[in-house]
Amino acid sequence: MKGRGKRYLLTGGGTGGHVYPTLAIADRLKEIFPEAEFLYIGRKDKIEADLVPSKGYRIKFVRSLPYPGFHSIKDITGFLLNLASGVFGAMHILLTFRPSAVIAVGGYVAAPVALSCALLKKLRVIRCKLFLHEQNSIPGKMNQLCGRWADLIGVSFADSARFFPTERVRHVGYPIRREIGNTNSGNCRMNLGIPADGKVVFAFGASQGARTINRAVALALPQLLADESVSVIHATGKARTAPSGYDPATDTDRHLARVKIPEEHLKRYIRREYFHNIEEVYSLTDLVITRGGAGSLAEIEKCRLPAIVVPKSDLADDHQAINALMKQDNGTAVTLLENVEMDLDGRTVECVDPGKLADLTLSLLRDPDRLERMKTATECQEVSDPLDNIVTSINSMLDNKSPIENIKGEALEAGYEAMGIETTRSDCKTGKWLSWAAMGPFGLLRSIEDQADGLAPEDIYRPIELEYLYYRTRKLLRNPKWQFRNVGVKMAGVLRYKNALSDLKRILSDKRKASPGARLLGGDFLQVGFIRRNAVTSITLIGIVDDEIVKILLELLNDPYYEVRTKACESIGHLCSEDDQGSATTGLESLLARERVLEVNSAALAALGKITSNPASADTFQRFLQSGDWILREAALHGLTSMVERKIIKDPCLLTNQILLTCPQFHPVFPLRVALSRLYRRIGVRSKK
Amino acid sequence: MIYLLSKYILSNIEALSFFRIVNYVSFRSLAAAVTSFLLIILFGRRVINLLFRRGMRDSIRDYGNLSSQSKEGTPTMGGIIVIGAVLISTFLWNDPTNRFMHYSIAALLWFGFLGAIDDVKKAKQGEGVSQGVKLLLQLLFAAGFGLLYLGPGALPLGDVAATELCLPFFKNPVADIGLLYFPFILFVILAISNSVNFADGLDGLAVVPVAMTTAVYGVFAYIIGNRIHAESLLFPHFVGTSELMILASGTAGACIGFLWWNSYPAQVFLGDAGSQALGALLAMFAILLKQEFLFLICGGIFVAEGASVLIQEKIGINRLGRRIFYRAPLHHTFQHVGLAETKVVVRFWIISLILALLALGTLKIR
Repeated sequence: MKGRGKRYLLTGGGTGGHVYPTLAIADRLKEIFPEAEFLYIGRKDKIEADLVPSKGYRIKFVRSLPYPGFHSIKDITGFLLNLASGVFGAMHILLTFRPSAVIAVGGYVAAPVALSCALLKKLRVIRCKLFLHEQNSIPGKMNQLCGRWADLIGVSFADSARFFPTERVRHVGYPIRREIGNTNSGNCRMNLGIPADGKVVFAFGASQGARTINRAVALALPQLLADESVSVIHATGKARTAPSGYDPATDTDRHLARVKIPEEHLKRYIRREYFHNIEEVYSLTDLVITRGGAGSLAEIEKCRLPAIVVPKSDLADDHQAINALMKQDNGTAVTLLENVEMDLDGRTVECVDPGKLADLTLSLLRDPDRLERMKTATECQEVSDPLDNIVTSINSMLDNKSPIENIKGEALEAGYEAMGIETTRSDCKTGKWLSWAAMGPFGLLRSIEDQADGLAPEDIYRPIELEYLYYRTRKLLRNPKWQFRNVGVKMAGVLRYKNALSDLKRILSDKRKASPGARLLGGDFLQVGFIRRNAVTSITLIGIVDDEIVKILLELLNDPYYEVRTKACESIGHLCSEDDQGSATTGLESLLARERVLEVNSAALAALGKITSNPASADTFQRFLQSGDWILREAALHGLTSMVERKIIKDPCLLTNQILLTCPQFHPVFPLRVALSRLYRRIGVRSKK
Repeated sequence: MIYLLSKYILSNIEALSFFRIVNYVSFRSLAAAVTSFLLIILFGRRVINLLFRRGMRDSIRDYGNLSSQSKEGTPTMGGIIVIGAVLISTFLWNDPTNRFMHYSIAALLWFGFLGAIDDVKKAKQGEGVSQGVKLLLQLLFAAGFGLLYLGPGALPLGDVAATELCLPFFKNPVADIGLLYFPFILFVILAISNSVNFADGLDGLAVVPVAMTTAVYGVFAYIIGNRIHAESLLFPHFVGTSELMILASGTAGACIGFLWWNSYPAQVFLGDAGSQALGALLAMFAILLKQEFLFLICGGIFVAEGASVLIQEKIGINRLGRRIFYRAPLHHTFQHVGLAETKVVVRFWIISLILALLALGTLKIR
């Protein structure tokens, strides 16, 4: 009989998001092949250590650490040592257990197992197949690496197939429990005490609780419950002894205490730590507020629930944000990206605006058509039973048959068309996100700058893409490392991100001193010179002026770093219109009276020529016509010209014989180049500049 | 080659005794200089055309000034002309068995090869070899050389131990720094070769100071290699370093020959191939003659250029988040304040000439 005596080695762990699907696969395999043997490999101190034995599977442990990135030698060596020890441990287990298939469901625990399996196979010591399942839209680094040696790779999102070898990757979907989406609400509604005809919002984060969602829901409650037809079910999550120190229960209490909710409204707010019958709760829900983990998203998709997704930021490759945005792009969810705010203790905390959350929730609930459209959109996203796909794939892999055909692709597009849904998605568009998410801040900035090419950002990117870029900018602007903050400042300018203005103003008015060591070497403020300089440039690019900005710019004329003064001059020349220059003109003139740096003086002269309406400014220019530096003489001449052009002065009394016209600079142009451009003009080709 | 030939002739054919002149180092170094200079003048045009046809063209690097833009498409990797001329003149006029020569030529080839790969990658793919890989390969050579240099009996250094440090103005070695000499060698090779590379930013800016520096080291090599001069000027005497003088004058001749084509507006650039190779050669002179600290004087231009880049990048841009100089390397600062390229270049030449004379001044002041 097929499957008799087969041995399956399962691995994947670290978080519930990896363990649950692994167990779901194991359960299904056990159902079909009751005689098969199973062994689970996990990490001793993680959730699988309790969960797996409680489900009746044997478990063994190896050592492993998440990939730390190339930041410190210490981390990297620790990681490599752990990996090596994990690989040897896994080899031992593989050689004693002798599995017919290794099923690796992501998570860093899977890495040493997959590595040693690949190694032993190369050495022809064991013969077993390696199956890899990837849950997220963007595969983790380890999974991408292990994908090279896997015999078959199953992905949850069709788009992530591009990260693996095409001939061995299948879109199988995300394995979830069968009960989900197939259960009636039963008497759950009555048990929870929810009015029979109202709308139900179900908010939940991860099993440990999602701080952002919990806080936002608590603060949004007065607004949400003010609508008599709305009930809110809130699963806060259980406090674990996690190092984060976040306790969902007390923290939510604290935030609830800050808002005033009438007693009779609170009846429609049901709060629990955790729902064991989550499938029943799903079945009575109209709208879900959740994190962007692949598991939660797959579950609510299975239940055909419209959702507001608040993805967790700062994860590897930003995968939750990408999961969520893909869903929004499919039309099955609305994404609310996190902001970064200063905590009361001065630390940065992720959050979403509760008012925005409430408005969005209510507007969705009051628009049944839109909810219906979102539900319909989930239908064409659905993959026929993912668990079945996975089990069939594994077994056909073991039988050396060609595995099931790829489900996604044209069939899906056809499905869309049949249902009359306009699809906005295409590979190149999702591809943009996927590549952005995998980029670090510097790469992202470079790619945006390359794309910009003088075009307005609105013309290049779709609104949803801009939203993602804004979100990355917001996070960078609050980053504690100046190198990253600097990238955020630059991105705000390139993207013309108006909401960043307040952050830019805050940065420019921040006069905290740098560390003594840095000051000794020539540093000045905590917001380093480049950041201040680029913030001024970004303000100029965004192009909105108010009194506060003018005030800040005039103050920056006294900045200790010369490049900031230069940029401030340029910005004043660009932003200050001719009317309100009173203060700007005097500011520039007093700067010119004391400034010693060439670059600043030349920028100040140019700006003064642009904005002055005071005929007396001509004297300032006259003074610089005697300067020893030809650049300043030139700038002063340009300034005078500009004043004449704008009819502020009629006739500058130039004593031409008093202007020193020689200078140690010239602009040679090759005669050959002139001849070539003449030829180009004749034949009508525009030469490159 | 000619050296060996003349030796053979002198011992066998009585009639051709005027070949004795080839035995004189002074004659051979003069001949080497003329040979390499003429080689470049005569064959430079062809090599430049070849480089251009093979696609070795410079791409625009945005220096934010007008004159650098009009340099797009200039043939680059002209360093191979210099390396070729130096090799040929050395082959003709040097004693091929001299140990000092072997190390110097090895450095020239290794760094020239590394630079050439970098140049080709830059021209063909737009991006050169990564900083880390480049540094690693340079270190590899430096480490290998360091081991050989400090190993037993590698070079005839006379009374001086390989690990002893000599300073200008001091007639005896100042200190024996032991194994610390190894990292010191690594530092000297990397610092000198890379700072010559930084200095190679404007037309003719690198080659003339290189020529002057090699000339200074050539004089020192002659004195240190000659027992009488060494004794009278209170230098330690190393047997055989006078061969380095021939190499040095060959290099100086090649540099001046290259200036023929490289002077403003340049018809060919040195490229990494040339600048790194010449830098490595200077480093070898400095170490082999134990005159590392002399470089601070005679190579002052390179020291300033290298230090400005290091301070600007490592302290200013990476740590403090601000520029310390207007621009780095130093010559861009002068361009930034409005000096024409030619002005900057000629002023740098003048300074390097003064520095070279100062360095020669240290011969007597000891």
